[in-house]
Amino acid sequence: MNMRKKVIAFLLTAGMLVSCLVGCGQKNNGGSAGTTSGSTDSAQQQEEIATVTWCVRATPEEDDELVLEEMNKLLEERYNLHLNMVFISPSDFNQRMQLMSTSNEDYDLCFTSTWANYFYDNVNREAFLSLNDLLESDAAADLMAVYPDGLEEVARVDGNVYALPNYQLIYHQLAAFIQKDLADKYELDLDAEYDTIVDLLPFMEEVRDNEKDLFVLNETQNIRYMTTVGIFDDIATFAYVYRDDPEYKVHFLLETPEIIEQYRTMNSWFHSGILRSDLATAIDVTADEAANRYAISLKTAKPGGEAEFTNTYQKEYVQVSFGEPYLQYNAGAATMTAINVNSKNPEAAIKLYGVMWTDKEIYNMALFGIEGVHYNKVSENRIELVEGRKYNKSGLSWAIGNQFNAYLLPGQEDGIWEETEELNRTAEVSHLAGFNFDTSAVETEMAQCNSVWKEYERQAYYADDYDVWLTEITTKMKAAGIDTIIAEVQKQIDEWRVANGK
Amino acid sequence: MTKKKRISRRVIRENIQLGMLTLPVVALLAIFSYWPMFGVILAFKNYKVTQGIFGSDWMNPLFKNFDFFLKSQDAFRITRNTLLLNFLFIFAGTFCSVAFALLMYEVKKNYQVKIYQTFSILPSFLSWVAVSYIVYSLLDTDKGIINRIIEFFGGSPVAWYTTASYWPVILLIVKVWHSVGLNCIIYYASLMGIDNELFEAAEVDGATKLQRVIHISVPQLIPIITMMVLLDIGQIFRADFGMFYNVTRNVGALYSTTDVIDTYVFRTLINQGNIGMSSAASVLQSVVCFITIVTANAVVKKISPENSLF
Repeated sequence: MNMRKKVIAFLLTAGMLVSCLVGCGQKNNGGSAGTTSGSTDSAQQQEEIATVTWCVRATPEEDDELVLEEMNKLLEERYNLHLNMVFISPSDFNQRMQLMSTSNEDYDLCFTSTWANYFYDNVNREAFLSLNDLLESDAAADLMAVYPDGLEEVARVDGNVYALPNYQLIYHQLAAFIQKDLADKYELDLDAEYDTIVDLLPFMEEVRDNEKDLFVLNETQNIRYMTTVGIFDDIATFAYVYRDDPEYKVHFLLETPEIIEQYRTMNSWFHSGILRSDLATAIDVTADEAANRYAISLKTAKPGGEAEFTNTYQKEYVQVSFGEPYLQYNAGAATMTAINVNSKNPEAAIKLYGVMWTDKEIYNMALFGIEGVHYNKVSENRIELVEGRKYNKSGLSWAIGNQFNAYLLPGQEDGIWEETEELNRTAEVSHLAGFNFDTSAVETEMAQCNSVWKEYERQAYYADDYDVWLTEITTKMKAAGIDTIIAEVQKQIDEWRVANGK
Repeated sequence: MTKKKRISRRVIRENIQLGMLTLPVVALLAIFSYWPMFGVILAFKNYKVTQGIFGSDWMNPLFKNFDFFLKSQDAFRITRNTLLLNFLFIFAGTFCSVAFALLMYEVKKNYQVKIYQTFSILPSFLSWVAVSYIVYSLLDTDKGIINRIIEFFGGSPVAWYTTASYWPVILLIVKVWHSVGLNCIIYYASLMGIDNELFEAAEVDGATKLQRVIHISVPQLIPIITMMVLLDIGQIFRADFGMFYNVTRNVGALYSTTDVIDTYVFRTLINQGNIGMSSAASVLQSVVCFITIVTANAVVKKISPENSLF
C-alpha cells in the first residue's frame, strides 16, 4: 500500500516536472519562431530569394499572416524579395527593440525616431548600420530617384547617415480644433488671422463661463510650443536657439523671455479655470476627447485636419491655424527607418524599403490589407474600409514609407497629400538644418536634467506661485548640470558652423 | 566510512521525491537569479551592440555609470524616502498582520474565520493599477468621495494630489490594506501550531484573555516575526515600483515624499535607455541590500542566536 502510494507520488512529481520543462521549452521555441524561423524556412526553400525582417510599431492582428503571404507573392514576382514583417505592440515596442538589439537578434529594418526606439541612443550603442555607401549602391537607386532631397540629413551623425526618414507632414504649425457649434454660438470670427492661442482668450472665457459641462482647452501635448512655434529650435529638450540669431547663441529654455511668459500664461489660465482643475492627475485624456468634452484641442495643423477630427470624433470641428509652417532643424526625425548593424543582407533591406516608396500597390497592401477582404476601392485613389476587418494598419502610413502614396480614406479630401507636400516644401527652413546633437559627452547631466524636468514641468500649470516655481526649477536644473549641456550644445554648433561654413 | 556512504545513499533514496520537487525552483533560481549575475559587469562598461557585453570597453573612469545617481542632488531625498517608507511599511505591516492574526485566532467559529480571511486577502489580488484608480476615486479633488464628505460637513476640499505631506500616510494605509491579509496567514498558521494545553493551563491558573495573548501567543510568534522582518529588511533598498508609480499617479508635486530609488531610476533613464547606467543603479541596490541583510542578521544573532536566518 505504502509502496504504491510512493510510486504514484513519484510519478506525479516527475510528471509535473516534465510538464514544467516542456512548457518552458515550448515557450522558448515560440519566441524565436516569431522573429527568425519564418525567414530561415523560406530561405532554405528558395535560396536565391532574400528575406527581409522588418520590425514595426503596430498592434498584431488576426489577418497579419494572410496579408503578408499575399504581399510576398507580389514581392517575389516583381523584386525577387521576401518580407517578414514583425508587428510589435506600441506599448512593448521600446523594450522589445532594445532587447533585440542588445541581444544581437536577427532583424534587418526597424522603426526609429526621437520618441520611440530612440534614435540617438541606438546610434550611441552602434546598433544601426551606416548607410553612406548603401545609398549610392544600385540597390538604393530606385529609392533615391524619388526620395526628397536632403531629407536624410537629419539622421546624419558624425558624417554617417544612420536612418532614412519616412515621409509625412514634417513642418511644425499648431492649430486649434474647435467644436463648430460653439464657434457659431459665440460668434468666433473664423476668417480672422490669429497669431497664437492667446488671441482666442475672449472666446475661451465665454466658453468657460457658459458651458459648465465642458473643459475649455486641451493642450496636453503642446505646452512648449503653445506660443513659440517658429521662434526657436529646441535641441535635446532644454537648449534653444532663436531662429533668426546670426550668432547661433544657445539658451537654456527657461532663460528665454518667450518661454517664461508662455508658462506664466498657462499658470494663469489654470487658476482662472481655462484649463481643467484636475490637470495634475489627468494624464490620459483620450476618453474625454472621444466624448467631445474639450471645446478646443490644440494639435498639429494639417490640411484636411478638420475633416479628420470630425470623422474621428463624430462631431463637427473647425480648424484655426496659428502663424506660418516652420521646418525645425530636426524635421523628419519623428519617424525614420534604420538598418540593423548586424543585418545579413543590407542590400535587400534597402531595396525592400525602396519598394515601399515606389510600389504603391504593395505599400497600400501593407497598410490596408487585401482588396475586397479588408477594404473596397471607391475610385482610383480612394477606399472604404470593410466593417469588422481583421487587418488595418492605416496608422503605419507615416512609419513605413511615403505617406503621400497612401489611399485616401473617407474624411480625407482629394488633393490633401499634394497640399501637405507643398507645405513641406515651402515652409520656412531652420538655419540649423543639418545639425545633430551628440549627447554621449553629457549623458550623466542629461539623465539628471530629465529627472528634474519630469518632476517640475507639469507643476508650471498648477504651482500656486509661478515665480517661486521658476526659481526652484531653475536652481535645480543648474544643480543638475544644465550649464554643461548648454555649453556642449554651443560647442557642437560652433564646430558644425565652421565645418559647414555658416 | 562505507557505513556512512550507505547511509547517505539511503538518505538520497528516501528524499528523492522532495529533491525532485525542489528542482523547478532550483532551475528557476539558476536561470533568473544566478545566470544574469554576470551582467553586473555591464554597470562598468560603455555598452556597444557591435562589441557585445564582454567585448565593450570599460568605462573610463570605471565608476562613471554610477555618477548620475551618486552625484545627483536628489540622491539623499530618494534614499531617505526609500528607507523611511520601507521601515514604516515593515513595522506597521508586521504589527497589523500579527494583531489581525491574534484576533482571528480568538474567533472560534470556523465559517467566520473563513469569511474574515477571504475578505482580508482580497486586496492582495488587485494589481497596483487597479488600486491606483480606487485611491483616485477617493482622493480626486473635484469628484473624489473624501472631498465630497469634507464638503458635506462644511470643510473646504483638499488638493490631495498636489500636497506631498499627506502621502507617506496615504501610502502606508494603502500598503497595509493591500498586504495585511496575505501576511497574517503565516502568523495565523503558526498560532494554530501552539499546544492547546498551554492555554488550558493558563486558564486554570486564572489568566485573563489579554494575559494569555501577551504571555503565550506573542512569545510563540517571536521567531517567525523575526524571520519575516529580517527577510523584509533584506529588501529595504528596493521599493515597490508598482505602488509608488501608480498610486501616486506619478505626479511631480508629490516627489518630495514619494520619490524612491526605483521610480527615480525609471524616470531618469526611460528616455535614454542607457543600459550601463540602469545596471549601475541595480548593482548599487543589490550591494546595499546585501549589506543590510547581513548586518541585520548579525545583530539578531548576537541578541538571540536561535532566531537568526543563517
